[in-house]
Amino acid sequence: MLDYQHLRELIPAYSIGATDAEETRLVEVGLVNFPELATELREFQYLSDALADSVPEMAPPPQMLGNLLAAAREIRPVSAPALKVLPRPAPRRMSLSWRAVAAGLALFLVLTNAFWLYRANQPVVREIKLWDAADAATNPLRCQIVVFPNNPSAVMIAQNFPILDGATTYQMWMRKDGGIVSLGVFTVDGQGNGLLTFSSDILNQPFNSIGVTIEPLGGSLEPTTPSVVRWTSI
Amino acid sequence: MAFWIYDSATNFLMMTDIPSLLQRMTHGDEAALAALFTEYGSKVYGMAYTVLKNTNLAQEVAQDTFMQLWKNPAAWDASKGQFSSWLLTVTRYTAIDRLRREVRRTGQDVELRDEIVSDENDDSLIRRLESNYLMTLLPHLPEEQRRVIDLAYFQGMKHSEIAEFLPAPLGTVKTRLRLGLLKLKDMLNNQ
Repeated sequence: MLDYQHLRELIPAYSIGATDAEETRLVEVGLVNFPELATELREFQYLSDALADSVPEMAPPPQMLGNLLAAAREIRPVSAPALKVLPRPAPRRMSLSWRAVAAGLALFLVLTNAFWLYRANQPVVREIKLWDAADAATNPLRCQIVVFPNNPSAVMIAQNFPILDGATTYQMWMRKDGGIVSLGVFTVDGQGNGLLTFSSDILNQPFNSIGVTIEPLGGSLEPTTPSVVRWTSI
Repeated sequence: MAFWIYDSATNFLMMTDIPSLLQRMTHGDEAALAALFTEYGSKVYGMAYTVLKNTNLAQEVAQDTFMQLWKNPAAWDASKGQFSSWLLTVTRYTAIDRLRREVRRTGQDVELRDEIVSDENDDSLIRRLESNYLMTLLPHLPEEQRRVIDLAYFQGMKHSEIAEFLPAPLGTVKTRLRLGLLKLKDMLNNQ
């Protein structure tokens, strides 16, 4: 017979995976029979999440991104199931009752617009691609800038870039208001992967294009070679 | 309400969110994986290191965690809570599994695990990490309660394993762990 008080005492340990096998089995049976246990469990799961969040962040080794992407190339992810396309019904004249339904739907959409407005105001990830998907077959270089909310630094991720000789480096540029600003220089590892971080503030101002060129070691005052990758505004 | 700032058939500037990045991963978009790593890599690596206290093993576990996500991006959905909490839970259990395998592989007693896997020159870093999370979340707990929480949460030990490891009576271990977690929960609620 299940002892509610005993099960309740096991919930804290269960929430962090510390119960022994038999205790775990008992709690899981108890969760089905006593809904209030599930409420208690949720509170301790919140604690478990808070403990995880309290763990200090550590910068991963610089080669890790390249290793991860190399491993990812070997394995394709499980694809989402394809959406079934239903045949389009023939247009019909709308009856009065259907007009009422349509009016209700319109009202529903107006009301739910508040949800989308809410979503639109949530922090989002901003991404700028500096490579042309249409040219992917002929140009293997991949380069993107990622800006996450509440993060003062933007990150440029370069992939498949040619490895340069010791006398040159990659340099990223922004063209705005007729002038050119250097966003920094970077190199790539043995697999052609590189990272560059810079203040994301500059991306909040209008700009015309961003590009990467090959420059003498240490960088240049302005681009001296054509861009190897580039994003251009309309 | 549109999120899209700029679009063309080729280059584009866009704004997106975690579900969209995961959706892109289902289509094999490596850039989406890189973007997630950029945001969460240091959290995942930090958790793996806190459990394993070894940079090489932590790196392997962090990569394994992201690869699990790559193989099955649909593993997370909003019903599982915050994405970062879910990802860190996956990381913690992956790291604990690795720790147990490492202990089995070396044939050493679990008591020696820190010596087995620790980087020789990384003691100061370990102390800093431990003091950080203990000082921020566990500061007002008695030492014996803090110890069992550490063994259970960050080293993946069960009640009976903690009792054997310390050593201490099983009932005492259960009481310490329960009281410690209850106090922590109250502290969080009162913050």
